[in-house]
Amino acid sequence: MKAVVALLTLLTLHCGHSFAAKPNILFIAVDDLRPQLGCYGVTQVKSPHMDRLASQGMVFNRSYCMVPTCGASRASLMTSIRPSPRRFVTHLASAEKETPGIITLNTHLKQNGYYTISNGKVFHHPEDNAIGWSEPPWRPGSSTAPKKGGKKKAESKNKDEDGKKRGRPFAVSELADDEHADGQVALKTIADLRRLKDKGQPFFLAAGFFKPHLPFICPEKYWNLYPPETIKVPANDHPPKDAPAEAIHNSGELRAYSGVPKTGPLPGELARNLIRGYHACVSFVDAQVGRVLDELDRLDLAKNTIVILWGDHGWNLGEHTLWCKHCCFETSMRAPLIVRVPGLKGGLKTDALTEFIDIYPTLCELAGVPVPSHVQGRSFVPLLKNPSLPWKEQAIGRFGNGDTIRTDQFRFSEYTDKQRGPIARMLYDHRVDPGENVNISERPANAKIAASLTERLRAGKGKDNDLSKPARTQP
Amino acid sequence: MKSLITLAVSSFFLLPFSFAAAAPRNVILFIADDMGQNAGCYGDPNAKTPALDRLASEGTRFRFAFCTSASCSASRSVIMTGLQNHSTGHYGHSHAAHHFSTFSSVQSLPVILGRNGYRTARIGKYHLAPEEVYRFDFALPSNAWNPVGMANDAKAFIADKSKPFFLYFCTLTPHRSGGEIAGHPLKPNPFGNHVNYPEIKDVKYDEAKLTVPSYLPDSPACRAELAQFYQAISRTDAGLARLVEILKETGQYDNTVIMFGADNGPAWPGAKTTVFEPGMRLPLVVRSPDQAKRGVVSDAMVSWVDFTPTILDIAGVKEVMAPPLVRGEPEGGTEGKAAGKKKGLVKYQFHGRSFLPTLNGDKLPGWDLIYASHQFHEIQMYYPMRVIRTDRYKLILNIAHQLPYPFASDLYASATWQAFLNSGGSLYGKRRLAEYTYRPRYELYDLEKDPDELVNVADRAAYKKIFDDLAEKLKTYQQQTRDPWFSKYEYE
Repeated sequence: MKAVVALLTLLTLHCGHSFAAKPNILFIAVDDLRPQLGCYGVTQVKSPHMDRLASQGMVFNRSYCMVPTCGASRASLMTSIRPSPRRFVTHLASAEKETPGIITLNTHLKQNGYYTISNGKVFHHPEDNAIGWSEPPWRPGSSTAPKKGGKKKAESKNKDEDGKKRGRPFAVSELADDEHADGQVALKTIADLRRLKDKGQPFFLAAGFFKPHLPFICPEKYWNLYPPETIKVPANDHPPKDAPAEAIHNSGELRAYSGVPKTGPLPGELARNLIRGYHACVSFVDAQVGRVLDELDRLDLAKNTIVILWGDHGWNLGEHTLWCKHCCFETSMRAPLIVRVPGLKGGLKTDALTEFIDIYPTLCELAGVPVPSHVQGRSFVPLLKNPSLPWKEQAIGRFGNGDTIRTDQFRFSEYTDKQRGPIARMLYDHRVDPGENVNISERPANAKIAASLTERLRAGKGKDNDLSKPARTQP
Repeated sequence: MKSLITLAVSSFFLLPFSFAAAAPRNVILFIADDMGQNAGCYGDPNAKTPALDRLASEGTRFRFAFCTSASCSASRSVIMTGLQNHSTGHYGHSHAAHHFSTFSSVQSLPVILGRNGYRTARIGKYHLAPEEVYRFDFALPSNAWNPVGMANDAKAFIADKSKPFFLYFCTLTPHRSGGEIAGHPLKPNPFGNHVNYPEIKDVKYDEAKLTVPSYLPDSPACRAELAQFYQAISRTDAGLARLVEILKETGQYDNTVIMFGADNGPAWPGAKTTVFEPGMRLPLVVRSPDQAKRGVVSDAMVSWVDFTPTILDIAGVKEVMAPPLVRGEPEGGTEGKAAGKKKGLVKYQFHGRSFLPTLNGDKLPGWDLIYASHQFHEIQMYYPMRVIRTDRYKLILNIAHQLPYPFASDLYASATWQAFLNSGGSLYGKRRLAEYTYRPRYELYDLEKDPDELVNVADRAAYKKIFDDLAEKLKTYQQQTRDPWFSKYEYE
């Protein structure tokens, strides 16, 4: 009860300078996790541990990543800066190189008294803003990793039949959970929790799990949760009606694996195996998350630890012929976000639109540290207390040459050529077409709404020159 | 006397709260970046610094204030620890490849203050490492090129009256910056002036009308850079003005001691990175609500090792008990291992002392000597120097005098230096280039006769007694402060 009062007091402070004991933060990132989990109403997916977290916290039903590719999404989240045509573009994006001088979330918390740790995949590049971690960023396979197994071992078993570097896109692994990279991330995080419990310093502990990123490799028990006969390909495994060519890609990330045809639709059995493997990996990661949450409870840390779980973007499992991410559809932009704050009511869901750049200022407010002026997101702490507050009117993101805006009712995307300007666009009415199967942007009746969304998108999207440029520091 | 009586009375009635009557003052330590005594109150003919002049008129201006190492990171480590950097491992820059940091057993000012009931925050330039040693409660985010914005960003922290506060306020001005002044043919460094700061009204300086300091060449390029430098100083001063305004708005002005200093002298060859007067003789203006006299000019010689003990004195911290300071880290090195076994706390010793007694300008004995100790600026700039300076003489020991004097990359690239090199001249300011580059083991200057430090009298018979006395004192000081370079007296 004491902790509840302390945290509520903390939440009511808006000036940013709180002198109550700072809460710990457990920051869980899951690579390529789409918001298809039990707690998102998709009961076929077995995610009991994330569901438990959700039952004690809040599920953000409509939270959107900024760029649907891992490096760029993470760099944007960790800086709270929008992507632009030349900033945070690819999976190799680096916050340190592309926004030099900007204080990232980890650094800011470290500078404000937090002990900060990075396990697994948090930034895409471990060396990105490594100065903001109190210990060198840890990944499985490094010298301090537990002896047995690790990512290499699990994935080197993945036979490379036709000589492709990446091997097959899915496999049943005969190794134990702990011999997989994500098992090791869980073990390391659990060991850290034990160590941090008595440190007398608040912690920001980031655990970045690698699955369900390709290749889909996990122990058999997780595959067995999904009997093959229950796996169905999506009903909309075709491009949307009247969609521009720009909207669809060839799923190149998947095609690089062996046994996957270079172009064209995937054979039905391959598609079903991929879907099954993806879900098996979700359940595998869910189990690893569960172990960490269990330890948090066992150590009695849950009462003063904020838990935030996010996937870096959505994922396509054959919708619109697409696999992987890298597009402007809802299936790529929408991503899971679950937040549990001690002392706040659990089991809540919100349909408010939130953007991943909102995470940084939210954690600042919860931690009682000032919000840097560069931050472009908005703290959603008020939503945590009242999920039905009127909130953001739009969520804007981008990928490649496409910019996309989601409002309560619509998703509108515009593709721009550097020389020629706008070249294509699409509009979906989520009230009647949640699967985004019919593009209605060119229908005369929608001219007004398309024009209005174009204007809002262009005004609100990230621009290459929208950061106030401080003079370069040369100490 | 009055406070003594108050104390006596209150301790009689409220024994457990005997210090309640004398609530500790807030402290703001304002450190400008690369600024000498370039202010109106110091008689600088160019500078327009109304806020600093005002502060001096209400407080105390020190004529003889010195950093110990004219290099940003090293100097800041000394300010925050009260120790010469040869004792803390912080031999040079902390950032990037330079990678120097402070031994983990060192007790820093914010950590000690935090343990003694202060709220601590820093804003702006930090340039210290590791975070664990220099831990503040809050790192207030701000753009350190905009001192007025910084003051605004610190307002919420200042306004909080729950506990006394310590605010470490470090502008990046008037440091050299990137960017350029559009259309200027001489390509002067813009000192951050190329960016528009909406809160600040630019104070421009006329290149043609400036007085060029004697250590710099009177060239068009140097004048162009000086105009930018002084504009950045005025911007720094605007930050101080806003800070004072905020203290008044929040009702904290008469409860706060303000100190204004700099890390090292201006970013020109001949000043920054050197131990010549332009490099190490710096502004120090202190305004305390408690001082008996105002508008004081003090001739006490103070050093940046004195900041930490002085601020602790203000905070009422009489002594610091801590594990003994050890060189190296607990897990490494023989000394480190031994330290791990040492138990218990000892009285922690600083190299400086509180200068509060000198605030009233009374001529006190024992404030006529300071020491300085420099090792590196950038990592490629190894050039250890030791200095003893009295009110009249300065003795410099160039420990690695066999090496040519190294250049900081940004000073070398400066328009001033490039124009000087292109001119083919041999006299930079009043100093010969050859003498700037190749230095003897000892330099002794009689500052009364030779304020520009041009005539080395170390070998002159007339100065032998003075030389011997200063050299001996310097050697003793090195030994007392466990200077690792002391051993060179023995094996060379």
